[in-house]
Amino acid sequence: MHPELAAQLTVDGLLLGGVFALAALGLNVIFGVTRIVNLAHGEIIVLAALCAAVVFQRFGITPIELLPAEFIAGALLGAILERLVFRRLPPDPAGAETTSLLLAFGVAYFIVGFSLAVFTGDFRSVAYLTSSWQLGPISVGQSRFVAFVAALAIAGALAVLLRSTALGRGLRAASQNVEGARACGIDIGRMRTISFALGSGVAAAAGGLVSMIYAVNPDSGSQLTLLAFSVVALGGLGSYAGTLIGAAILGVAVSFGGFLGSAQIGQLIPYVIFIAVLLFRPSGILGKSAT
Amino acid sequence: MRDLRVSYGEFAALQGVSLDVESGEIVAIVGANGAGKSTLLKAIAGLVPARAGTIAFDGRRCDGCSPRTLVERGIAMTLEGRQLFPEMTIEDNLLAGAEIRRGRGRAKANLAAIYDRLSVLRERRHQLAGTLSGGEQQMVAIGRSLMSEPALLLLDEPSLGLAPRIVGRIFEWVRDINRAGTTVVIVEQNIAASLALASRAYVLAEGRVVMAGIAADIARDEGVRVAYLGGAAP
Ligand SMILES: Nc1ncnc2c1ncn2[C@@H]1O[C@H](COP(=O)(O)OP(=O)(O)OP(=O)(O)O)[C@@H](O)[C@H]1O
Ligand SMILES: [Mg+2]
Repeated sequence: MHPELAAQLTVDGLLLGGVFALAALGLNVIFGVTRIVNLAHGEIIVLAALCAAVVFQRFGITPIELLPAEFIAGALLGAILERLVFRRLPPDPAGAETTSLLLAFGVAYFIVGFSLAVFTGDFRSVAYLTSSWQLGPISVGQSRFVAFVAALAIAGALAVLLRSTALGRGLRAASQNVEGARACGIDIGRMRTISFALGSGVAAAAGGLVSMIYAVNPDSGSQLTLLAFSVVALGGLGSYAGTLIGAAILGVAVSFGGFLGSAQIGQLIPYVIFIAVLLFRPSGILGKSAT
Repeated sequence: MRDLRVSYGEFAALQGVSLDVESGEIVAIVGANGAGKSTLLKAIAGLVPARAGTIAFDGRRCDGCSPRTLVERGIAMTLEGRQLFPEMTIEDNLLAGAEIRRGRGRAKANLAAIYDRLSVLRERRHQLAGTLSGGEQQMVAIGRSLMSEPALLLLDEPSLGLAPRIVGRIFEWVRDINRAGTTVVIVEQNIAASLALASRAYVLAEGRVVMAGIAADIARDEGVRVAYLGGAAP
């Protein structure tokens, strides 16, 4: 392959990786605190992307301007889902895992049905910042670049929240040792609600950015869920740096796969990586190896 | 505490336990493995629900309260096996103990007081708790409980798995915590040491109090040791 082409595909992939990382971080926050694998994550991303597309079309509000509203709406949806649905899981931790998976599956399908009713099955995206910058031999799509920068900014804000605030400390404590956190007077139920709100808010923000890169319809959710899972699988559960690196790897892989094969083959790559990592390196590329 | 009963499913771990702790005391609770000692402390801290019975603290009923409410009211528990947050720094572990209103305003001062007492923790305050030795972890666990400025400190097996020298330091610290005004209830496998520390003691067996009295008397009582504490000489 021509080195300039390789460089172009790498840049494209890395830019994609920013949004992938954001999607995965939301999933990670929820799983960390609740141990619930939220299969409806991609559907929330898609719902947000569809909203962004319609709002842009109707009112001319750009996805970037819409980000705060997307985050808040996503956070509300997440909090409601936790309170209304996931909180009602049986307390038995062994049974809860399977039940929560099925429950999340049901929620995902509910959102798909809802989105189909509201947005129809049309593919939508936002035609915003459609031109590119030319940096020597490499062209950088403006929308991809802006989405990338916004994704990193949100990921950075999330990192600061988790690392340096009392709330973040409570969330981390709850995810690392429930009994220890309870003994400190940390309200686990509240932390679970907040983790769902935060994770879903971040997912919705990612959805807004997705609308600038991909055309999606209500059925695209499961692909995005799997994308987020692949990133988490690559980077290791609960690892912040791992998520960023996993997202970069996946973005580049998708970009190369899409060029070398076809768009369809590009879409297969996350599945292949997901399965391969689970089979050969279940703790993730950067994760501690299972003992 | 009056006639407290706690069950895990069908299994009755506490079958009517009554005990009194006076303000300012150190009370030891001893008993064989599985006697229900941890369950007793957890019930006081609100970490397991009581099926029956009452608990009062400072003259007010406190059974049925959430752990959070109880920490706010001044009951803190250091759990068996430390239960730290392994991927958080020492300092974040300690600060997690001041997440509630009680003690939050004085978190800095309380942190400094803990570091002054245990300089090894100050040196390593940015180190992850999971990488500490057992003794250091126990110090962090007790320090975390102190961050909420408890009036009543519940200690579950602080000497578990530690070298005698470290145990000595920790017990010395507990005595000083008590002298500074905190009431202490301590559960221990290290019976001789905890009975030496405590003024009074309760012996627990199969979810019941089988003996109560002055710690020194129980320590001397050969019959108790043989019957309930596994017979090991102190
Ligand atoms: N979560 C639980 N579910 C079911 N049974 C439990 C649970 N926790 C404790 N038990 C049972 O209750 C009994 C009392 O347990 P507890 O932990 O209070 O004993 P202990 O006196 O602290 O013992 P040890 O000295 O081993 O710490 C034991 O028989 C134990 O098996
Ligand atoms: Mg115990």
